[in-house]
Amino acid sequence: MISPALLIGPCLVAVGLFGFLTRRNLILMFLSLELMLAGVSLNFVVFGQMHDDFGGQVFSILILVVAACEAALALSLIVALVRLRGTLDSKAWSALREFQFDDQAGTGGRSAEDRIPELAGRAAEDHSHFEGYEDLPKLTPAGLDPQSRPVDSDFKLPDLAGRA
Amino acid sequence: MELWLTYAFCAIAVVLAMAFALIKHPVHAALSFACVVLAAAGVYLLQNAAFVAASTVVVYAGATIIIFMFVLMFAQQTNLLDYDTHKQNPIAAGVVAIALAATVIAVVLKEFPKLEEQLAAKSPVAEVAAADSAEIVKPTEGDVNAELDVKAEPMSLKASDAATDAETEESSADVMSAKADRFTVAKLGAALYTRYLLAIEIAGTLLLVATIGAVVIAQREPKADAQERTKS
Repeated sequence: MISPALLIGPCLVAVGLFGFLTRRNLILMFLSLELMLAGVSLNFVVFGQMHDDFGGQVFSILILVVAACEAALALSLIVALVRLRGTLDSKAWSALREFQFDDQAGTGGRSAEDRIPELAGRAAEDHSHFEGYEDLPKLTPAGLDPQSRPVDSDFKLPDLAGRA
Repeated sequence: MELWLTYAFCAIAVVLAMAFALIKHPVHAALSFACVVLAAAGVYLLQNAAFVAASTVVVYAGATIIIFMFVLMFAQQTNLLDYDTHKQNPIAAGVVAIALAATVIAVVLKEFPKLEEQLAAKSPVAEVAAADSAEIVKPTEGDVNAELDVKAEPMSLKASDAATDAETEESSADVMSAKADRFTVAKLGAALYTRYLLAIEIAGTLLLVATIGAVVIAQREPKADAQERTKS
């Protein structure tokens, strides 16, 4: 007879994963991580019980310790981040990511190279709420094949260069 | 009874976990997370893991949730903000999560009978219980054969079935209580400080390092503070 607790563990992990992927509040993202850890340690205890061994319980105590350490570090990081940006939104920390380069939508038959100004404008919009970060290094726009069309070493996104 | 309690705790855990993932208000979500952890602690208790249950309640539902709520209220004075009400990519995340859960559950369901067989073959308690129940069943079957009363036979068969059921229930109860005796907190402590000593040492070191790290990260410009102190 399978214990229902064995099936609950994966469910908790999946719900935690869903929460981590969909939430934008930093604190709730970390709570989702804790939920995933709780699901894993539940399964450790049940399997340890089945094997008639303390190993499962010891593992779940270790997981508890790791979760406590993670909570302490995460909270101090969150406090430091909130001091800098004044918000718990995780999107406030996307300055270094690559901007979206969707080739399919509304290209109108133009090549990717011709669309660089437009895309750069969109990238600038994307980054527009990060004041003081215009000089950050920008990644090569995704979608241009660097082998066939090498990007010049002094390549700059036009609009961003104009802003600075 | 224990099985029903396990089912109840598991149902509470899953429902509240769903609520945690879907509720928009961050404080309500944190509270439902605390309830999930309490339900998990109930399951731990039913699995003879009293120490794990107690420490889970203290660490998760106590310390972690309280401190998280504290930071939540410190950082976010207004009630509902844009980033709480709008989820990002809920459909893709849902598909990934459901696929993960389905895969793991399918593997568990597929491999569980094999594991159960292995454990049953290994466990001496189960062998003893099986031998006991076999011994008890044999005489009652002999009685049934000896009676040879055609009308009474179905009745006595049922009775013997009921008797064997009761016996197996009793023996499983014996196994449970024997397990509870073997999984006391004292014995867990003994195991922690003998066989799993290295794990405990690593956990202690980890806590120390994390404490130092948290203090260093959360410090607010130590040089400026020191300068102010020297001025005053």
